[in-house]
Amino acid sequence: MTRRHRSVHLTMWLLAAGVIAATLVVALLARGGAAA
Amino acid sequence: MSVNYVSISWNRSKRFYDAAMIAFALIYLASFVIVAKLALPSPGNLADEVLAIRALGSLAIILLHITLAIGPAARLWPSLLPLLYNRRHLGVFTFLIALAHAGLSTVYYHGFGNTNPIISLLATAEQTVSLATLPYQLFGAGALAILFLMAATSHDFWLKNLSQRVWKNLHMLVYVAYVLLIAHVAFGAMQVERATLPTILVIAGAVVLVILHILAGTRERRIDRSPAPAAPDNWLDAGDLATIPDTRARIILAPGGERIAVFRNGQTASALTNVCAHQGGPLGEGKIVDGCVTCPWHGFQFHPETGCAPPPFTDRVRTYPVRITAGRVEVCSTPAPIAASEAPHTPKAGGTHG
Repeated sequence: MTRRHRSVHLTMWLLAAGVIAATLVVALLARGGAAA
Repeated sequence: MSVNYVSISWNRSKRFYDAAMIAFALIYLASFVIVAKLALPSPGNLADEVLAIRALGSLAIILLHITLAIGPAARLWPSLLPLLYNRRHLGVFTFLIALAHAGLSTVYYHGFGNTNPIISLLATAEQTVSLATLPYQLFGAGALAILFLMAATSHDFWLKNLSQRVWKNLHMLVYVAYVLLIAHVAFGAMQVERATLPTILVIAGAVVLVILHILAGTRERRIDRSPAPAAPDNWLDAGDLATIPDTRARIILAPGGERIAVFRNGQTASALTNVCAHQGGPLGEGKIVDGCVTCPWHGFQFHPETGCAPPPFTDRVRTYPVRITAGRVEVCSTPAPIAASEAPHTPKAGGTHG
């Protein structure tokens, strides 16, 4: 991979990590809310 | 890859990995059904179709995690490179399992009403009244559409005709597909089912995958950011020839930050760009086989002196002039000009290009 590609991959995974974390937190909160 | 395009490129290695992949899938599906039948408190309440939907869905998620983990794992542990070589079939197989899950779900949950199943599926968006009722099926459908696009264009025919740049960008949609899939599970199975184990497994899978990618990515970035050697006279020092393992390479940084693979072949040395012309694989992590530098990702070959693929292939990569001074290899930081009339190298053995 070129240097640019390596950089894009890392950025995308950092972004994905943030979105996934937010999604899971919201889902867990929704699950807790529905249970309560 | 072969000289002419073939529908599915199989060789002994790929057959072995495909057989292992199918065996794993069958064992997993059988185990899932058996364990569910034995372990669930009231197996009579769970229809066989639902069991099959869940078995296929969880298998698709596991396979996607494995597919996405192979790349960074092979960067961190090169002994896993054979998995990377066989990854394409795994990706297509993952899509087929996901398709079976989606097809069965659509027919089972939307196929027995008066409404068209697809319309019925799309209408789930209107039923959103809270976070817990987000249309998780549409998230899954979105992920499946992307996986379809990737599976349909996974062939080298598309890589060649779309251009490497477009193809790579297209396949980066896998990030979106993965996030959609997590949302599909998070607002589907995690809301519908109160079971803790699947929730923990999905979160653990996502955490492991993200950590693997970030570890591999930061390691690469550290290398990219290490200072490039000063080259006042345009020649870069690649170290003693004797310290480079025979038929292997040492990777050095050019002043611009791109990597150069410096190969040793007996008492001679040659230098090529580290980026393979096929999918950008790290040539410097491959080795010389039958007189050709062989990419560790998919086995594409290039002559170390000319950068040309063995005939009848026409790909080529950039090369750099090399000189050996008092046993030390020096590489010119300016690539060698490409001579249009340069005759391609003829390999000792038959040219296998991937």
